[in-house]
Amino acid sequence: MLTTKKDRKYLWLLVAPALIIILVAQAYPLMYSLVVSFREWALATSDVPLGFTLDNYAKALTNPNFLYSCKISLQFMVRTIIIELVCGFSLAYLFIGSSKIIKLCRTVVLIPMSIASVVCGNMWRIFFDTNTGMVNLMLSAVGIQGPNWLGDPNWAMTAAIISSIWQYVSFSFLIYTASMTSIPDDLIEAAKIDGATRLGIIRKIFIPMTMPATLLILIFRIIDSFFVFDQIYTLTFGGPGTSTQVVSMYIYNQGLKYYNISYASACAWVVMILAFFICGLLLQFKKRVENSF
Amino acid sequence: MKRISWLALLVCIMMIVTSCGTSNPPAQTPSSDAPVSGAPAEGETPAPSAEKMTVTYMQSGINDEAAKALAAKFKEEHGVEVEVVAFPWDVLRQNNTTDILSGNHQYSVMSGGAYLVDIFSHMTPLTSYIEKDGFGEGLIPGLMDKTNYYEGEVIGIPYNLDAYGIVYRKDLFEEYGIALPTTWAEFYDCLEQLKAKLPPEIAPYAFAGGAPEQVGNLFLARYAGYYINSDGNYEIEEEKAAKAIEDIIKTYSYGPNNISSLSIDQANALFLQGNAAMTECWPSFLYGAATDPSQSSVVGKWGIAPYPTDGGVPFLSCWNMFIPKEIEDTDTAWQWVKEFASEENALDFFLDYNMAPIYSSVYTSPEVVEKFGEGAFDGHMQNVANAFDFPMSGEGQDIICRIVGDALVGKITSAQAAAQINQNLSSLTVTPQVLELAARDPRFIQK
Amino acid sequence: MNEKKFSAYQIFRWLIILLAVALVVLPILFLFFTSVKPQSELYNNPKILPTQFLWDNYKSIFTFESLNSGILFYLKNTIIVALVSTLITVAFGSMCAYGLSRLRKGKLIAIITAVIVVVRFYPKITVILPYFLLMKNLHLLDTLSAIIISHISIGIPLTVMMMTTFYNEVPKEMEEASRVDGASVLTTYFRVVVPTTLSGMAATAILMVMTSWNEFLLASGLASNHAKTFPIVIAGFVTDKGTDWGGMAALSIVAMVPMVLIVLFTQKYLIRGLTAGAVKG
Repeated sequence: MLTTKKDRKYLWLLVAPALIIILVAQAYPLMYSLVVSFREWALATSDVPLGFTLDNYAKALTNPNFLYSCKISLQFMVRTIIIELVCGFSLAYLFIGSSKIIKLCRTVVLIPMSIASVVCGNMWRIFFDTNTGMVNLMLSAVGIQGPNWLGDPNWAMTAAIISSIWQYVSFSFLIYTASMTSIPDDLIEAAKIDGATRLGIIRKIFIPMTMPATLLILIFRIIDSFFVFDQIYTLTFGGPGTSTQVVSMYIYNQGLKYYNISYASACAWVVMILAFFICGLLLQFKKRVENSF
Repeated sequence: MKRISWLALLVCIMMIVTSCGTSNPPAQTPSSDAPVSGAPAEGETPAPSAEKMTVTYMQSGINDEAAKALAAKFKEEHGVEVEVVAFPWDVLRQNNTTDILSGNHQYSVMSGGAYLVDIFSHMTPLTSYIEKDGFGEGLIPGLMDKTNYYEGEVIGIPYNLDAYGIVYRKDLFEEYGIALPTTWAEFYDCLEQLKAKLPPEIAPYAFAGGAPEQVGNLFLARYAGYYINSDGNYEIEEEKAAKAIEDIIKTYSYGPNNISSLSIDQANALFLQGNAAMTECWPSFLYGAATDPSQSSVVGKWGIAPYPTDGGVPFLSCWNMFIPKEIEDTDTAWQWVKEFASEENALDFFLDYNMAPIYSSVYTSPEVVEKFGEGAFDGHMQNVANAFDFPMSGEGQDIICRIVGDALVGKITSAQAAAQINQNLSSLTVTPQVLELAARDPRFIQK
Repeated sequence: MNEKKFSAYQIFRWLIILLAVALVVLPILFLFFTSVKPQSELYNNPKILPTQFLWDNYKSIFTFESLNSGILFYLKNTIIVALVSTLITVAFGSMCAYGLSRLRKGKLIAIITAVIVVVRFYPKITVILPYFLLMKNLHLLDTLSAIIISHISIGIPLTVMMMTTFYNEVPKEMEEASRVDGASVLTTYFRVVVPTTLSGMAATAILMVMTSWNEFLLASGLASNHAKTFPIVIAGFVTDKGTDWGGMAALSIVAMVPMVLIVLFTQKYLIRGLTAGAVKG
């Protein structure tokens, strides 16, 4: 569509307010943290940033604790995403229908998404308490001795994953539901007439046609679960030991607990680049999938 | 155009609403930039001249409630509106530090402790105020040595004093003829005797193994080596550390099965309900409830025992009030600090809010003796005298807590834990302030 | 899908549906139980069902004094922040998305789009301290404005991304007809395009309200005392001394209710809005 000069002026006027806010409120702090990461600023040694150094990045890339927390984050991300995708997809499929009951049930299943992450984390903290928490009480009602969820390093990660998927399966459920609604019924009817089994229909029709939804969920959830903070903060605070110390907790501790500010900034930039890289791969994949349609 | 004016209206609404939104509750906005009266003259401290002041405390229902009670009186007497802001421990530390770091200087009096060591250089030295107003009479002996210093000058006024201690069942010890331990060997012997003689529903020992950072207190009490080597870097003696960790494991074995998942409240509840004979804890969390029949079954049957001295030291918890250098009215801030930590208020704060007093007289006053019993705090006073801050930065403390915690659940052996602690400590630097702190006890630094 | 009502598949399907609903409802129910149990049952003799219903925790939340400086005050803060951020984010974000989608595509547009979108993809933890310093320089520390600005800046990328797909769907003929009639770009946008894409804006608004209401990290980094929002209060419930499980549970229930109600009443619009645009890829 041809746009005249006057048109372009107006279009830029539309773009301007949002752009200004982003530049001031996001780009500036981000650049500031980038600059600080190249200087030396730890509150214990000085009040202001000093000099120029690459030490922070060297330290970040070789520090076993930081690398361990990256590993923990990746593990957390992969496990939650797989479960969320599978459960979200299955639930969306099973919930297809338009009866009043189904609509009500669907609404109920959407609730966890609207709860604040800190509330969710707190709630599961109460539930996972070894001695008085609901989870262990119910387990012992059927005769199983519940583990020390939040005190045993082997179980804390599982507890965190459970808390996270409880909250976010409803997100992928929502997206998949919206996507499945747009699959035309006659396509499915035609396949059934052709004798396709239910599983066949799922495999050949539903999965490919919900690919955009899958990508959308992946893009959002990969980033969000890799950088998870709120839930871990209230559920375990990175503990016990370092068993749930995801990357955000590590950076938080370094930056706002020990005030090793430039080191924390360097760590943050390292994981950001990692995240951008993963996203870039995803977007490439998305373009290729879209082109093949 | 209509739509543009709609947009403009929206922006106006936003600005109006947000400026309404910033209106504050009956307490104050941060202190204004008005200039202030001059330096303290000779003699009396001049009358406070600022109108408003913000002070920080930990949100615990103890310190903050006492502060709010004082704020009401302070307003009446001096006409100064004091806003008490209280946060949970982590947030308190974070907000205090950020207040200084960002140059905001909103808080006139800050509560903290040795863990704020990185910003000690920003605190007003209080020596001249102390000398002028004669603060410090009647304090528990040696207490002023345990507050926080910077470059040799006092910067913190103490309040709510506590030291980690051994809380035990006096009646059971008497019944079984067990003597209080004076060495760590005797400590474990006590536990053995208790185990042999106690009925099965009473555990010899309880502890908040599930509460983070408590483990560090056990380590500090048992580890008999140094924390900083002669080169001025963090290092612990691995053999002694491994032994200390083994000792903690041994202590745990006398507790209930779920000892490593108990919270502070749960462990204390075990003792208060009479289901444990000994515990190591912060006595101030316990002794208020222990004298209350509605909360405790052990009224009159408990005591605080001194730690053996042949291992490490009890952990000191001495809250300090600091006055940052860059605030406008240091005199008003000092007036507040003085009154909060004064002897007149100490007894009331103790009885009403369980705020542990810093004056010896309070512990022997008739009301306290009546409530707690004669000599109830003797053992506690010994612990206080022997107690010290952890001679490390917060990061170092976390390293020890974390790795010892791993050893306690059996993830690594105690020898591996000791080695890992040193590996992790080697990447930290010891700041001069920490060195000053550690120098208080000769054992902390290698000769 | 299947005509037979009682086939194995239908039984299986309804079992799973019921299980899903139970898994969502039971934790919330248990949380409610925790908030009404007497203290002793929480620590010493834990049972699943409460033996009595004590409403003390709720009473202490809704006292009159809490309206000015207590929990209701923080609730008020949270409402203001959520509403204002949502209004401004949806307005500015949609405008920006439209502009970006109609301007001639080139390097500059690509860069700007990238800048706006990239904000969504980094951890907020990176910017807390610089944010604090920025707000201090703007003298906005501990005010609601600081939190609102930060929420707007994290909401705009989402809005732009969602609304761009909507605007790509709008039939060009409608816009061209309006332009041919002599209307300027702005008039076309506000009079023609916006009404057609209202469902998308509604969906975005719903998501934005929830995001802002529940946001914790930025709010806690910027607001120390007066401008606290609900999530900060909830996260702050754990003290050194111990935890007031009952009070915390009550507060969590109170925090949940508004958002749950919003989802219950607007899920139709949410799904409709998302279907129309975002998931088409």
